[in-house]
Amino acid sequence: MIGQLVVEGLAIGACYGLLAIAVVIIYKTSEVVNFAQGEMAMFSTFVAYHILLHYHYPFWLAFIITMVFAILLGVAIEFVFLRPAKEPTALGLIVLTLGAEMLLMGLAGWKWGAEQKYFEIPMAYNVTHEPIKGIIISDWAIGVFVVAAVLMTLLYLFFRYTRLGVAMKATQQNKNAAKIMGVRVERMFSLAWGLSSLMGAVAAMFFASRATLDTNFMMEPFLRAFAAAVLGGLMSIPGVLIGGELLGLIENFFGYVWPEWKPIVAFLVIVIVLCVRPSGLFAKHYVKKV
Amino acid sequence: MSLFKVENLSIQFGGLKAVNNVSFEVEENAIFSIIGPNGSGKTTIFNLINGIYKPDSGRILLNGEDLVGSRPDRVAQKGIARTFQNIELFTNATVMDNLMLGRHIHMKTGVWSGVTATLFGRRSRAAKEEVKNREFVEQIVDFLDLQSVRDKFVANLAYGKRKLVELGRALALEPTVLLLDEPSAGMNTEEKEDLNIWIKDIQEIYKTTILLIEHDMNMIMGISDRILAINQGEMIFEGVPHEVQRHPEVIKAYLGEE
Amino acid sequence: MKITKTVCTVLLAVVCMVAMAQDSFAVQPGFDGKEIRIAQWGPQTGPAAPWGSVARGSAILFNLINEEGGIHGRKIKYFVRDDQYNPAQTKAVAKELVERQGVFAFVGGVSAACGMAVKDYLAQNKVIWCGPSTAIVEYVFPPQKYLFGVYPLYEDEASILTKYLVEKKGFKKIGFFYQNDSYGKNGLAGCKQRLATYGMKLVEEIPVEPAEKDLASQMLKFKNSGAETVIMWVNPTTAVIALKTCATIGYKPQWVSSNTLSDYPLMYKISGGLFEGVITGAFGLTPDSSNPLLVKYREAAKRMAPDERWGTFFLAGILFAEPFVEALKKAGPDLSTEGCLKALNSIRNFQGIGPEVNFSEGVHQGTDSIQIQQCGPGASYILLQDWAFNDLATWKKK
Repeated sequence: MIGQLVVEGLAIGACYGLLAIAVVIIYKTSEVVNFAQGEMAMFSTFVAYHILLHYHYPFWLAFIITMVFAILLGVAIEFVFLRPAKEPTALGLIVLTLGAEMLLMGLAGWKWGAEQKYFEIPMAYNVTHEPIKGIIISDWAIGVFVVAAVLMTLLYLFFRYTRLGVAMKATQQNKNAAKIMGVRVERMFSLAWGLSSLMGAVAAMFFASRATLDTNFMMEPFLRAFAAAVLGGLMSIPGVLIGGELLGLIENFFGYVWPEWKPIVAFLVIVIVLCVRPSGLFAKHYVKKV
Repeated sequence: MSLFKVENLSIQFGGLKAVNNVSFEVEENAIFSIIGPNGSGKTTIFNLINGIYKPDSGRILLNGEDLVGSRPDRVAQKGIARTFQNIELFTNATVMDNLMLGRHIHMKTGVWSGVTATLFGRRSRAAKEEVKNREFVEQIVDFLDLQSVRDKFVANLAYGKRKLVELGRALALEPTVLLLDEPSAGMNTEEKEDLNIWIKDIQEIYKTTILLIEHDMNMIMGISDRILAINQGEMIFEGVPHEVQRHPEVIKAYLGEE
Repeated sequence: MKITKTVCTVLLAVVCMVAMAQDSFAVQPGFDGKEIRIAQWGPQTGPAAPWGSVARGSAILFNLINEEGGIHGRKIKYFVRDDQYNPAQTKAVAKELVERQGVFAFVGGVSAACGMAVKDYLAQNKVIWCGPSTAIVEYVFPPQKYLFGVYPLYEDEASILTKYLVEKKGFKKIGFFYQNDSYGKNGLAGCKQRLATYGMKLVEEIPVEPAEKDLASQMLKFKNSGAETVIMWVNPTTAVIALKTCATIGYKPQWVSSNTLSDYPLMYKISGGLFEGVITGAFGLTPDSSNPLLVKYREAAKRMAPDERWGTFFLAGILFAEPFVEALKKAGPDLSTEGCLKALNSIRNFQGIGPEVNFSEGVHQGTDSIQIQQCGPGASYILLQDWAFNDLATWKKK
């Protein structure tokens, strides 16, 4: 039973982690918690659903088209909602992302209706393996682990070795210095939003295939991902993935013993972390000198 | 024609004339210093050159091309590098990372070659380019004597070292014009002497044209080819060091107070 | 420019006049010699839009009656308003319907929160409300003069289902999975009350928040408890996640649910077929029933609303409106609110396509009966047990 809880906790935790990475990529660049994160991912998943349903493309083709769409959506939202804000306050930015969230929800509701939809990915939840007696692992969970590992590796290589990734990292650390080094900072913002939207869409597809697809299905996972991001420190990408895994495990073990408390434990964790280690468990405490 | 030229540059901040009708010319490979009391508009001139601010009027010409209206990253690509009074480094990165970022504009490859570099490793064009850029940066490390700290995080460095890293990063751009904003501030006498030599070397070895803002008058008088003195955004005098030293208004506005 | 302005002014004036004129048409009693005005709110847009089909379903019954010449010579004029599942919006549309359109009565009405928002307002304006599409204790206990319930209470439903599971299916180990609100808790109470009569206890009871997306630990707990059957009093999404999670962890209990999930085609689709085999309560006949009345409605729906899906909720719209139509017939040609109330209170053993309905002065909860149905292959309906009432219903003893 404990082994099964670990598998389930890690699988859902990896989903939280992926979404948390999306939150962090934007947070590090635009310095705002993007409340439209979940709904951007929701919208992209609906696009995938639409392509699969109406054009009958093979899943992987639909997936690639959706990823391109997700990137463009992220870029567009940054361009339309955040870029025009002149010298915005933190609160102002949050309100802008909330506006984007409502717009996306409204649009999705108008286009696809309120009824829940069935969304399937090739990594099926009902194809299971039992490598060790008593521990069942589904293709879905294997899919989550593989995708999380691959995306983490790609992100690491991207930020470490590519000109673009390095420039983005520079922008996140010091916008002025990056500009002076010839980095097109605005483009880095677009890139961050595009990349984040893509990560979110991947996570959302896993969530949708485990639950149902509807206009609000990403609200709850977003809150969990935010908790994971806080746990991981909002700054370090591997940190928030570990944060997500920890959250998944805590929730499942806690939820097993006290089911009533399962929905709340994520937020208790946020509060405790913010009290004990405000910069998160894995972040180097970083204060910019003025 | 001069390499770098500023014509009638002006900017106001809410009624305050921060820079008012400033003009000067800098010859190629010269060291040109700007002096003036705190708040006289020296850094503002640098910010205008960089494109961080947009002037209300005036022109900034590099090789005859007007830079006004260009974004900071475009100005950098045209060959103007800079250091800051308050040091603007990537503190959560190593010294080498910071210096390599200085090579950003010399890396031509975009997303796709980034992807191929990830996939094909050393044989790709991006990887070859990286080797070339790394060689250039290694020279700077040797030149500024940063060997001992090359893999340290900037956050862990002493102030003087950080100043050098920032200078090194600016050099990594291979700039035509280098803007140095109070490079000696916070340095001890020994470090200042080294800095003096380095600036001279930069002028000679890298053939860079240097604009310098400094408070250390000994250093200014020693290395400058020409000096511009300003006060409250207005030009007071422009000339060779010994002329400036004797100019009564300069003495009154600036030297007298020291 | 000037012409445009003039045209606009004139148009505006005309619009105002028309609007005001409509106001003066509104007659208070809610009917006249030619028509009776009946209304319903329901989410036609927004998150709960799938339940909006209830309000559209009622229209089939009213259209049929009008085709057959109306009730005592009066045609039914039916108003549907979209409240988007938002109580503030429900208040606004109810006010408009009562004060501007002058409606005689409301039928149906989705959402407990929306209903509670207008319940007192309707009573103050002496507007009859018959057959809300939700079962809430506060609607019917204590009885409200103008409010009549047709929807079986969740407590009764859970009790009947539990009886069936123990007596007919012989299950010994029962788990209960419920939404952590009054809907879920009412179901839990009914189940426990029934189990107590057998001296049995639930092997596991687990609450869930409606928006929870990860149910792994909860399902593992059920699996570990050895429950042979799990009764769920949850929403459709939670049910789908529970079913999928159990498919992952290799746990196959007999799933049982309230009538809330009795729209099998929908549940079958969104669960990817996992809903097959689930037993649910039902407040109406199966959509494919050969009951003559139901056949008549089905044919009418095909003709009048060919684009609508003939599903449980659409059918419910007819079912919730039937008793009120019956009362209108009984009230006779000399119509009045008081007369209609009298007719409602005298309804005995009335049965349309729903359960048998009885009202009296003291009891405005019309029924305690449900059917038990099962989702068969391809989302078909299998009738497991015909109408059965709850012999333990506490309210009937009062």
